[in-house]
Amino acid sequence: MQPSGERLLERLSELPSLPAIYHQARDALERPDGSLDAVASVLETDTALSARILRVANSALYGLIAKVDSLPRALTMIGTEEVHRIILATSVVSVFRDIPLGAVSMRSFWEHSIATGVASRAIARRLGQTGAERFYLAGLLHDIGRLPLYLLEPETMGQALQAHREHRADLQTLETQMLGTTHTEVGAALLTQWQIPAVYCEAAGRHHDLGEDDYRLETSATHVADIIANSLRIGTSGTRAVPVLSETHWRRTGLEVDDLRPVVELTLRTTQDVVSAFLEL
Amino acid sequence: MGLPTKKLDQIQPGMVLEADLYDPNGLVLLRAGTLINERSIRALKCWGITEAPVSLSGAPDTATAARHRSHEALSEMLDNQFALSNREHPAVQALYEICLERALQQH
Repeated sequence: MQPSGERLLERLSELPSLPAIYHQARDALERPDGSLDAVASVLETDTALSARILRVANSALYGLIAKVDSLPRALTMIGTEEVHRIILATSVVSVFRDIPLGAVSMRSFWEHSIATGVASRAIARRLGQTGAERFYLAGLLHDIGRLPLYLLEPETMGQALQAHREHRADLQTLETQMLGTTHTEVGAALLTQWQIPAVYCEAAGRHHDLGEDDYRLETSATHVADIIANSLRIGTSGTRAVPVLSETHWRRTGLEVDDLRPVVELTLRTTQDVVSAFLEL
Repeated sequence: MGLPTKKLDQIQPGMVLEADLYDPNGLVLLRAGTLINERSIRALKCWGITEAPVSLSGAPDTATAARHRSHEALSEMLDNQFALSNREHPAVQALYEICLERALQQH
């Protein structure tokens, strides 16, 4: 018999996929003669997604000085580099936003994901890294593997959550015991299937790894950001238990203990606005 | 009895009893430290007690006690939340302290 974990990985195609418009916009972006106006024209065929992108562009995530009210202008303001990420982030959240998850509320799931993204971005800024939004996306997608687990194995995940609450084993260990796979493995597989850049697959796949390795900074920042989001009790992807902090990831970020307070403060200041931009009408 | 006493009609809820109070049979009616409420005032009336050693320090004292209780409850909540983490790591310890401080401010 095939191990259940492998069977679950084969069923990922049963889940909703990224919308066609994401792929069309990505093609338009990658075309050598492409322009942001051409990308905007593609996106504008989907009014809901365009409106959402505009809201996110105007949120605390980008901190644009003036409010932008046209999509082409917003894309120009945030820059070509960032356009792919904002389309990806808004598409992923929109695809899953209104699906009932059962054991955990979808809103709470995204609140945890957004808070982790915001904390990861705050860490990047604290470290003086360029492209802090890359860290946001890594954090936003880190627990995406939990969605297939809840949607494809609702009963088993319900039991795992129950066991987690009663016996205080961590949820990841229970996933392995009861499903033969983990949200990290499933998350990396899902993002790979979606052909998302490798940096996000690694953050989703390895943000709980404790071993010594040469992690990307995005992965280590997401590991620390996840711990911050859990301690602050902003949303939940199933558990509010604060995970173990890996010394390897901590050292990899180069953060000092004194950096935590400003990172926490920036996270608290920004998260609510970004949550509204992604989730509310 | 050396402690200053107050007449029954001056005793208000929120005051604190400074010494044990006995009923006419010599049994303890209320212990020292009891926070006076409407019920204890009715009990005093019932037993025909006309004065009792109470202090006004009741309000701040109970506020301190409430703070102490909520501090304990919040620490317990955070201890649970951090039970699976490595509290001995200085960064986790710092995060715990930040969360406790924040929780106390919110209360």
